[in-house]
Amino acid sequence: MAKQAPEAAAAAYIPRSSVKKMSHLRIFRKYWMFYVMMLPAIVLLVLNNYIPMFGIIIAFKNINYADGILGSPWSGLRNFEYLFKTSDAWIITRNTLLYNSGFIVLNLVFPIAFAIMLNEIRSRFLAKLHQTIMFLPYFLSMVVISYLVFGFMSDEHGYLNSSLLPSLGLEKVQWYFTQEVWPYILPIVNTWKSMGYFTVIYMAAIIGIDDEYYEAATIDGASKWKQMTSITVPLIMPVITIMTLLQIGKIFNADFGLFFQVPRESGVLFPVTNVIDTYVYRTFLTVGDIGLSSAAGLLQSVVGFTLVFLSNWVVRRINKENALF
Amino acid sequence: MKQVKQKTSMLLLMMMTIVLIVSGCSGNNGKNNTEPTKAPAAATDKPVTTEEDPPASDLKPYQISLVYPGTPQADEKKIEEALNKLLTEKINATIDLRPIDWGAWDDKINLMVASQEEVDIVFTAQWNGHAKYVAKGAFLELGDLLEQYGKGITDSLDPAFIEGSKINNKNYGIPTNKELAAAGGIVYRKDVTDELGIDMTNVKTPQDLDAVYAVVKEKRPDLTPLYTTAGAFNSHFFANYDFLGDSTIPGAILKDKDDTKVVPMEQIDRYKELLNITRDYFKKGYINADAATTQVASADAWKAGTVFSTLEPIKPGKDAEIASASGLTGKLAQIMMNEKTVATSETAGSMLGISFTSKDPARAMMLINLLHTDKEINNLLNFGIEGDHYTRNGEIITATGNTANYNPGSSWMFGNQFLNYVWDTEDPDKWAKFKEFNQNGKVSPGLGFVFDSEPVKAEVGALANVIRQYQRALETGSVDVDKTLAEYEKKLKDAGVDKVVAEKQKQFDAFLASK
Repeated sequence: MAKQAPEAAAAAYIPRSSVKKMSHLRIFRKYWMFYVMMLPAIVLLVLNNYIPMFGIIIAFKNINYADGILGSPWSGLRNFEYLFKTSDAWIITRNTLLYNSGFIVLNLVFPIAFAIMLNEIRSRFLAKLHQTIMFLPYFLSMVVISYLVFGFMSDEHGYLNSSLLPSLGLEKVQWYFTQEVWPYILPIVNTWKSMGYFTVIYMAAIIGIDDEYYEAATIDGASKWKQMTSITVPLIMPVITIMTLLQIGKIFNADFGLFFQVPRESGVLFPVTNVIDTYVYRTFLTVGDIGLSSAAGLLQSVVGFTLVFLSNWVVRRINKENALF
Repeated sequence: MKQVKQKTSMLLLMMMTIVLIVSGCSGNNGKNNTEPTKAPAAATDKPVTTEEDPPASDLKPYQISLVYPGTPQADEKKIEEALNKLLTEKINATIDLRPIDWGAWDDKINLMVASQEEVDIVFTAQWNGHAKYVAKGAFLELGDLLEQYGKGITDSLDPAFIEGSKINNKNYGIPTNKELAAAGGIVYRKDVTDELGIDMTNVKTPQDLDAVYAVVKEKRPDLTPLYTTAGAFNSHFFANYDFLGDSTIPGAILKDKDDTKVVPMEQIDRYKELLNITRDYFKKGYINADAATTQVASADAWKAGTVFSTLEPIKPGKDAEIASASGLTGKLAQIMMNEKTVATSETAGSMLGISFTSKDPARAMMLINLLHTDKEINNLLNFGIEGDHYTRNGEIITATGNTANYNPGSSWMFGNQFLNYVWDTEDPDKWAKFKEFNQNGKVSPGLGFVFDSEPVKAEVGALANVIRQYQRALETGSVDVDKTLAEYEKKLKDAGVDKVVAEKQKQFDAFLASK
C-alpha cells in the first residue's frame, strides 16, 4: 500500500528507465507472451481502424462509381469548399465547439458530484438502485429520447403546453420555434442521458481509493468537504484527465443523434442546433456525394487528432504522470 | 512499481471493462455499414434453377435480380417460382426479387451503388436522385439495348416518355407506362361536405377554400381543415414549378408558361402570393400547428381520421387510392386546381435502370421488355397468383384471404400499368380515364432537360442547409412571411444561389438550342 503519492510518482521512473536500457530483442524474449496476447487486439485495430484509412483519398476525388475509387479523377480541395461557403461554417463550428465544451464540463461536474454522493450512501441497496436508474437513459436510443422530449414540448399535446404552463397561468410556448431555450434544453438532455455512464466510471475510481486516507483525515478532524477536495478529487485526477482528454479528442464530433433527432428538423432552430455532423448529413442527403462527406470527416479527424496532441502536451507540462502518452 | 501507477492502471482496466460491456450492450451501431455487403454474396451464390425444359433459344441460364423499394412480401418465394417458370420458357432466366423497405431505400441504394454490389435491374426516378446516380456512373446507357431488345417498349410507350427521361440525350432508365400528365389539387372528405351542406363545385383556386375551411373548422373541430407537412400551396405539383431536375436545387421555371428564364423560386410572384395565402390559413387555424416539424406523413394522418383535406398531385382515382389505403372507401373526392402539365418529373417519375454491375444487361432489358408487353408476367409480379392472392373476373380482380401475403402495391414501378388488372374497389374505367388524362397536357418548356449539378457542387452543398433551415417553416405558413422571406433570400444569395441559377440557365439554354 502506498503511503505518499508524490514519492510514488518520483519512484515510478526508476524501473521505466532500466527497461529502456534493455535491447528490444531482450524485451521481446522476456515478455513475448504479452506480445502474443496483444496480437488479436492489434489485428483488430489494423483491420478496423487502419485499413479503412485508405478511404481518405475519397475526400480528394470526384467519385464515379463506374470507375471505382482509384479510377475516379482527382479533384484537389474542391470537396472541402462547401464547408466554408457560407456564414454557416462559422455557426456550425461555434455550435459544435461550444456545446461540446459545455458537455465536457457538465460531464465532469455532475458525474463526479454524484459519484461522491453515491459513495457516501450507507445503504448499498439504495446506492445501487440510484446508480442503475441513472444509468438507464444511457441505453436509450436518441430517437426514443427525441420522442420523450417531444412528449414534453409538443405544441398541442406536450406536457408543458397542455398541463404545466396553463396550470401556472402562463402562455403556451412554441418550443420548436423558440431558439432561446435550446442552448439549455440540449445540455440538459445530454447530461441526463450520459450522466449515469460517467458516474459509474468515477465511482469505480473512488472505490479504489484506500480507506486509510479517510481514516487519517477523520482523526485529524477534516470535514467531509475537506476530505473530498483534498483526498477524493486529487486521487481520481488521473481518471478525470483521461476522460477529459478522450472527450477533447472528439470535440469536433458532435453527438449526431442529439442534434439531429431531438430538435426534430425544425429549421427555425438551426442557428442554435446545427453542428458540423448534421450540416454534413443534410448536405449528403441532398447532394449524395460521398466525397463531400469524406472531406468533412477527414477535417474533423485531423482537428480532433491535433487537439488530443495539444491537450496532452499541456497536461504533460503540468503533470507528466497524468498524461495519456 | 509503486502504488499510484498500479492504481491508475487498475482504474484504466476497470474503465475499459465498463466501456466494453457498455458498447457490447448498446448494440453494433457502427457496424451497420458493413452488413449490406454480406447479402449479395448469399444472393449470387443461389443456384440457378434450370430444372425446366431447356428453351429453344441458345441463351445461357441467368438469374436477374430486381431491386425496388417496397415492403418484402410473405409469399415472395412462391411468386419467384411462378415467374421463373414463365421466364425460363421465354428468356431462359430466373428472377430474384429484392424489395427494400421504403424507410431504408435511400441509404441502402446509396451503399449498394457505392459498394458496387452486383445487381441487374434497379428502380430509379427523377425525384429519387436519378441524375445524381447517372452522373456517378451507376446506370448503364440503354440506347442500343433498347433498340435491340426493347421493341415491345418502344411500340407501346408514348415517345414523350422516352424523350422526357433522357439525360444529355441518352436514356439511363426505361420509364413505366403510366400517367404522363400531372396536376395538383385537393383530396377532401366528401361525406363531411355533404353533411355540412358545403358546395364544392365552385372551388377552383386556393382562395376559394377559405370559406370551406371556415365552415369545417367551426362545425367539425375534430378535423384539421388542411393537413400539410411541407410545401403546402407552394408544392411543385400544385404551383407548377419545374426545377429542371432535382427539386432540391434552386432555380425553377413555370411549367404552365412558356418563359424559359430560370429564376430562384423565391423571386416568382406566384410564390409570394401563395405564401401569403398559406400564412393566412395558418393564422386562422386551418393548417395543423405542427406542420413545420411533424413527422406524421399525410397518409398516416388520413388513417387517423382527423383530416379534412390534403393537397395532392392529382391523377384519375387519386381519391380512391388514398381512401382505400386509409379505410375511408367512398368518403373522399378530389378537385383539380391547376393546369395539367407534362414535365420531366412525370416522364422520369418511375423508371427501371440497369446497374453498371449487371453481368448480362441484355437479359435485364429482355425482362423489362416483358414487363411492358407480357400481361401474365406483369400481373403476376404486381398482384401474385390468380386463385391464390386474388380472384379474377375479366379485368376486375377481388381480394382473397391470402391477398395480404402478396400485395406489394408497386405496380407503378414495373413496366406497363395499362396491362394491370383493376381491383373491384377501384373505378373499372381506370385505364381509359388514365389515357384520357394523358391527353392535352401543357408541355413544360423544360421537358426532357435534367440539370447536372456537378459544376456547382460546393454551392449546392451549402444551399442544402439554408433551404432546410427556412423552406419548411416558411411554406407551411408557420412563420411571418415578409420578415423570414427577406432573411431567407439574403442567406440564399450568400450561399451562392445566383451562381447555381446561372449555371442552370446556361445548361438549359444549351439544351433548348440543341432541340
